[in-house]
Amino acid sequence: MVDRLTTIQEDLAACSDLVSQGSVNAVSGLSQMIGQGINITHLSARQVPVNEAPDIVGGWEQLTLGVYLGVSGSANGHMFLLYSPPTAMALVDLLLDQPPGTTTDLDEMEESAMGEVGNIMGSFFLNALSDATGLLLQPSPPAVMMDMAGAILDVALSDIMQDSDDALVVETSFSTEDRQIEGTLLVMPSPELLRVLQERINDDR
Amino acid sequence: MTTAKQATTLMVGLGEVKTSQDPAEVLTCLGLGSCVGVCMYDPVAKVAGMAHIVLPNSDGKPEKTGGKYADTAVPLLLEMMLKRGAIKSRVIVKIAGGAQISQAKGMGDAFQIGERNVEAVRAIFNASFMRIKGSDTGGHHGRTMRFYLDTGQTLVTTAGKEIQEI
Repeated sequence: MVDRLTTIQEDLAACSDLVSQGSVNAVSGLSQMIGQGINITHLSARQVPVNEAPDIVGGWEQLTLGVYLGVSGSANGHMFLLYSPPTAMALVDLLLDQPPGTTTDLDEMEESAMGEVGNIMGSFFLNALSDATGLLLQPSPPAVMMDMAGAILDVALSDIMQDSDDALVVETSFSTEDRQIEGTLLVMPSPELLRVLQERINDDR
Repeated sequence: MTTAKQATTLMVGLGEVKTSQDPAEVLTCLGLGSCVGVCMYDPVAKVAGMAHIVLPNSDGKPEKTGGKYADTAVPLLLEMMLKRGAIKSRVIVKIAGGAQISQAKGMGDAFQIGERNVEAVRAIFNASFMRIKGSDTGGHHGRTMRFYLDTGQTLVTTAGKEIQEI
């Protein structure tokens, strides 16, 4: 296990570049979906102990709307879209073409709209990754959750912790011009996915 | 629900096991989703401990923090309690967490790890002849578990709900 982690660290830069490119593409997918320009306000790739990952999101107990997409195919990974509840509601209004402030609760229809946002961003992300590496990567159906941030991330963290005590976390924060829509895309490749990405990178050299 | 004015939070992160005898401290597992928080307390020796369990079985795999798996974390926590002067027969056990945060279809068993964690924890306590005195597990919501050393209370917070004592 230690050996694996060492190899990951050596080529972490190349891997995280790939994941970052995918994240930029995901944000462009959302931009096309809502027909508005979206700026990336923050993009970082960090390798952290798994149990520190929720600190990145800020506030383990913070009530958060999360859309989770599992990645499968050549290897597994995890993607989360995280929004504060008010932002999620604003985004739903935008998507359903309603005046701002119409959505005050997140029921089935609203959750399904948020799931669709996850689908679009997940597909754009994975397409970019697949195009660059030729790997076959598929998103799971989106799971929409409203809960404490830490609890939402558990599904990914427990999976990663089976193989590693560290996780590569690529965080992309984005915002519309008027700052009405702000969110975070969090990508956590499994150690396995990092390994196959790295193999592809090495093959190309 | 009273607590010491200068309570200090002693954070128990994923895979960690911690014990304390400081009455000002509050052992805390934040945002438990599928993870299970295990709390032990000896009210006579006033020793408390907490583990933040992530996965059910180690299958013999070694690990850094000792508390990642139910089958290694529970014995480790008990051992640390005994070292601080706790007596096994006096130790009160409470557990929280092990939820299935999403019920979305097509996820395979990724979201069922919570249930497996709870089962594993319960099995280990049964095998060690220790009774779980209070619990708040399962369901579909995240929890925070806090243990107050000054009062001996275990409180569970759920997003958007009232705090309850277990």
